[in-house]
Amino acid sequence: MLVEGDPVATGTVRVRGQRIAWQEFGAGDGVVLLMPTWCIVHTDFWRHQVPWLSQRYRVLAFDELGNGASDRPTDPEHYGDLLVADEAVAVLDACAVEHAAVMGVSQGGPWALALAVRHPDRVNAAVFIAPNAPLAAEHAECVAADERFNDVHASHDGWSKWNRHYWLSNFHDFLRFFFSQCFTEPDSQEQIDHFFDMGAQTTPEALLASLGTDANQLTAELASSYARRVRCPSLVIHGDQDAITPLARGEELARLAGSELIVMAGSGHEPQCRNHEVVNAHINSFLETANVRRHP
Amino acid sequence: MTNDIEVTQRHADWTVVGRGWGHAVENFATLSEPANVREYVSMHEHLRIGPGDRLLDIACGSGLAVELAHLSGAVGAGIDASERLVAVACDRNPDADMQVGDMHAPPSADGTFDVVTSFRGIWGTTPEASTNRSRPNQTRASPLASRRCTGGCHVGRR
Repeated sequence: MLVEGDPVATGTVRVRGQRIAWQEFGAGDGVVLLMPTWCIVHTDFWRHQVPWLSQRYRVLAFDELGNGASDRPTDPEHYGDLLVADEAVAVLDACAVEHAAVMGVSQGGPWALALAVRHPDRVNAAVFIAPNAPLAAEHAECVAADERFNDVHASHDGWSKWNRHYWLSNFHDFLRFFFSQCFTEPDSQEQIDHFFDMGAQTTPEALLASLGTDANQLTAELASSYARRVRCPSLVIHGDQDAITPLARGEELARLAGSELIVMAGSGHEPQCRNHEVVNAHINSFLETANVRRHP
Repeated sequence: MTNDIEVTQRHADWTVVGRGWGHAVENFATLSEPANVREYVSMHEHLRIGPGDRLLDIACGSGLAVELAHLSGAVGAGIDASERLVAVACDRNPDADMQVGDMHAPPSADGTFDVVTSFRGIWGTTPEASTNRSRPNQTRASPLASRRCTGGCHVGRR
């Protein structure tokens, strides 16, 4: 469950009747809140950041509904971009944390963005890694697959595995395909295996529900509005070989939010995992300059 | 739910893992490992590493933990899947036995070492890793590490 390591505290909060599991690591005056991402994985996707950050900061992490130690509702009403900020605030409250530096990867990027804008008093810095906010077009093959998501296909190759019926009948093969797209760097089998193990802990029913309802999604207009309203120091890190979230999305978020932008040459969708050495160094530098720690 | 592939205990070929970790050896050696010095020293103190202790570091990377153990008097050794990382480890530890290999089948005989450490070389998802994940820095960390130790040895895992 959750992140491997030695948590100093664990607990759950209830939000809209659902149980959210959280963990706390390390100690320090500064607090880092690691947002979850799409529940196709659980919070162990932060495994290369938690041990390192917790040497200097108090680190909080929680599982999104649908995977890890949190509940797995199969009603889409429980999921959506605009709902996760409430879960984050509940975790901060449970841990008596006034404000934190928030970090999000992929879908966790727009969730961190929403938290930073809707609760500016709780967020003193923000790191967006491969942020999947709808601020630029998706990859064409993803758009095509999405348009036929509910269709029945005669066969499923490549992105046509992004399909409701395929998830229900060949979930593990979909997972392997999807994570192969997350890690476009050579020799990434170890990382693909790790993500597959996390993905296998949810169900296709929960994953389908996690696509949510239109009412709770971050639209392009709202994402643009939110990005312009970021007031805290922010950093965007994005790989230029990201096959899931186009680099243009990270670039546009950085432009609108006034963020520092780090483009990682050769990196895919999970640089915090596949190129953690460099990502951690950038985060360290950013947190230092953002003065996250109140008593440096 | 119907699934076409069962979840099974498996791991990628260690040479692929080695290439994966060795792709950015300069970054690992100069950015990642130095950031872990507090952790390495804390673990060595916790394990009371001292003069003459025979220490093996599994997934030793570029060898900084072994180098620090040597400063405490330990006789260090390391194994890592990455040829490029071990090349740096050898530079840092010219007197230590640093080897490229599969950590699931290290060339040393069982019971060779007094202390075995591993810093993020053994995960809960690593085959053979113990299910004792609630206290991963304590002794029952991993059968594959424990076998290399003498009786009454110490195993440290983070």
